[in-house]
Amino acid sequence: MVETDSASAISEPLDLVRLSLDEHVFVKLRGDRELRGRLHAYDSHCNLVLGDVEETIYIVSEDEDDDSVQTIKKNSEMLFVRGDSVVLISPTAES
Amino acid sequence: MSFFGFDPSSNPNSRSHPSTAPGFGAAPDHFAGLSLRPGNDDEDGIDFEDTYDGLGDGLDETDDALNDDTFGDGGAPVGKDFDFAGSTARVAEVLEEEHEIFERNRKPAHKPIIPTVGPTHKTTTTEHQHIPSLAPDMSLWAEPSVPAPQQNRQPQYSAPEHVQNDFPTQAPRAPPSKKFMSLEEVEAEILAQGRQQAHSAQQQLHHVPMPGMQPVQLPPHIPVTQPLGQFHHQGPAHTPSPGAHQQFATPPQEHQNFLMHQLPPHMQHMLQQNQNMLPQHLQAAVHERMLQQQLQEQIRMQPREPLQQQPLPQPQVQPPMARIAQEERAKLLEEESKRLKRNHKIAQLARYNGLMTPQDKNFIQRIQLQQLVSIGNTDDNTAEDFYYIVHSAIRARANPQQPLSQLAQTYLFRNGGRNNGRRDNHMQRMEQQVARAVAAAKAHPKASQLVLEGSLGKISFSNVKTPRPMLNIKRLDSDQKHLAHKSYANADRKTLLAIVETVYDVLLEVEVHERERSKIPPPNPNAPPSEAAQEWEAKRVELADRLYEEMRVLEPIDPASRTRHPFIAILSFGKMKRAIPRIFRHLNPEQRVTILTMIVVHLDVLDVVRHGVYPPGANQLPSAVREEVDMFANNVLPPLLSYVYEAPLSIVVGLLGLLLERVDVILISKTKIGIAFLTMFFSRAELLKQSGRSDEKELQDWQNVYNRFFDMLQGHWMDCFPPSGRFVEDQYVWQFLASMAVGANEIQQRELVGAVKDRVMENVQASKVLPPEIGVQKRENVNLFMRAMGLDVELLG
Repeated sequence: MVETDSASAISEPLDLVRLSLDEHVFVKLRGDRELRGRLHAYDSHCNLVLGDVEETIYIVSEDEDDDSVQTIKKNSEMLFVRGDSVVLISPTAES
Repeated sequence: MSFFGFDPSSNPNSRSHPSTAPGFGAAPDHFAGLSLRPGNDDEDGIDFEDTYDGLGDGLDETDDALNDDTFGDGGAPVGKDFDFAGSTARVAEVLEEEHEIFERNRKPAHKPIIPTVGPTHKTTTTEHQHIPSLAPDMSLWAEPSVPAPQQNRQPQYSAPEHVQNDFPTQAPRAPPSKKFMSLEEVEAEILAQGRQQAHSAQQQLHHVPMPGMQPVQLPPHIPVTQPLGQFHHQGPAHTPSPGAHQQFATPPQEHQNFLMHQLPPHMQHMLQQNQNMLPQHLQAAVHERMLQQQLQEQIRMQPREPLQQQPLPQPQVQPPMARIAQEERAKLLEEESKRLKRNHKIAQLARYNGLMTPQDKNFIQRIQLQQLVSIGNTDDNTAEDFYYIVHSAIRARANPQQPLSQLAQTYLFRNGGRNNGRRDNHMQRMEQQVARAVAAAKAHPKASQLVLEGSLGKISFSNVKTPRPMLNIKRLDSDQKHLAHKSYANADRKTLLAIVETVYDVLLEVEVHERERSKIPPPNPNAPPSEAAQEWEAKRVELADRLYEEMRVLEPIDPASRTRHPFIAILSFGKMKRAIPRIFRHLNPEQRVTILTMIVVHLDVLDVVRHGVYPPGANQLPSAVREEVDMFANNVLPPLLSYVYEAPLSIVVGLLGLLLERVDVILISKTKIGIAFLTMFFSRAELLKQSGRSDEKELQDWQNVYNRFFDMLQGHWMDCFPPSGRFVEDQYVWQFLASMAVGANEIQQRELVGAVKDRVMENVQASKVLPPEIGVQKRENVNLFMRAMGLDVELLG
């Protein structure tokens, strides 16, 4: 029932992204990167504009024996993300 | 000729009488050849006359002894190793000499004829003095078809003095250079003939004057590019040449002439405009002039043979003919090179001919038109291209030189700078076509989907704006209507977000519609609103109602339910808060008060109130909450405030009553937003009370409500303040206290002061320590409250 309720504004997959406009989202990118921030804008190519972004980069060490994963975090006030690197967009539980 | 038996090695001077040599005509009639020469003119005859010395007559039959000198040994067999050119070259010097002598003896008018004839010919002329032998040679160059009657009749040879007299008249009429065509002329003629054939079929299309029109006789200022004068005036001057493809060639020239003159001037003019008729008409005019001249000539030459006059007209027009022919040839060459250049260009382009099928072209054309339509159709585009349109509007306002139709210019006339003659015309036609196509596309919006009967989904076509969805399940519109009445009791976050998006959709629609108001002519205050204005207003109301409905304000309130009302729920989203001022503009007062009421009733469940309470021990609210609170204060409060500041006392009292009944006043008094609402109501009510225009009943009601509030908040005044701190922002609390203090009686005032006394003292102390600006601000805040009771901070010392 709830499902059909929300369907009124949703007719295509990207409409789900639209629901997250101005909301806090989690974005997974190619190259072991993740972003968390407020979604300001998007388009049909999944190009995104994010605000107050925290970027996390996971670096697996080259060493065979060492399996440890290093993470680097970066913060940006505003970020444009090119759509071809976007793997996933998800609303975060709570901002 | 001299070919037969002529011994070129012998000295030409020693040869004296060729006319009687074997192999030549035995008869010494030197003039017989003249009559036989076809199409020849006077020059040849004159040549003969001038040069003939009569020696031949005397030598005839008597000097056969020298025949061997002339023709070689009769016994020796004639070889076949003729080398005429070489032999001639050997005697060239002598020939030159002879030629010079010959020239000196002649009249200058006849000079040109000799250079035009080949050297071999000259040799024979001078050596043999045998004019008839020239005849076949000349005929090679002359036009064989037309006989020159003048030649036959004029007995010029018999009367030298006559000739002398006659020449002045004849010389100008026959420039010898035109008699024999030079190589270029022959080429031009052949070229023209070829062209004539090629063009004759499409004459009317190309407006090429017909060769048969004898344009030589045209006055020079007539821009006819006919170069073939010399070819055609070989024939009778006023007869259309047989090769001409004339549509009007059937009547004889004279008759046509007559016709032309019979016509009224405007008809003549019309005929002149006809390319085919033009040369004939002009010719007619020339011909007329010729006839007059002929007449004069006739009178002048009466004593002489009348026959002589017949050919006169022709030679008289010849000098202009020559000149014009020259000009025309130049023009022809120019034209020809132009034509070749153009053909070359076309041929180069033609390489790509046929690369695209008509379907391809259609396809591309459709894409382009579709883009144009979507661009040109700004009505539908405003929401999508909102930022560009607003931006250009602002720019247009900032820069008045730039017209508002900039959009059209930007998109449609990007290369409008290029306009030269034909392209201009072309562009205009293109624009017209585009305009038509756009209009047509608007009139018949292209269906983007095709629903086949019995199929589960729709087949959709992609276009530029909307890429093709692979599957689109058919859904009935009635579903949506049904939705509106569903309960949102258990609406989850996603649903709420969907509602917000819907609200935005409708809001944009309303705003687009609002912008369209400018398209309607301004209403005349005297006349009833126009039909367009009525339609617009109806649509506006409809859209505003839909907007209001989408906000779910009218969802029934269920006090027992623990879930939030959908309107309050969506108001918890920042984007919805930001939309409120935009939405408020389109709502009517009734809708506004409903929204206000809705918010007031749910004030304690409002996110900014619920989260706005300072948790114990915390000096600050979480940043996210602060953000929300600020957003609410900046976006939602102002429109509500502006409404309340015009609201009558009854409404204010009513709203306060609702607050007392339904809302946890203690809770809201602990939050900035809650206090803001209270301040809003109390100050408005106080203002109305002091204005003295409210009736007694309302004032009484107000007093009751006030007292209840005061009593309820008694003991909680200090909770209104945010946690104390030097830099804490507590102005809003002082404002609230001030609005309370204004309406308070003395007892209430004393209680109030007593309750917040500590805070007052604290602030006054802090203001003395803090930097001047902040300190002054703090004192002012406190003073706001103190003055409301007729006190002042200064009194506190």
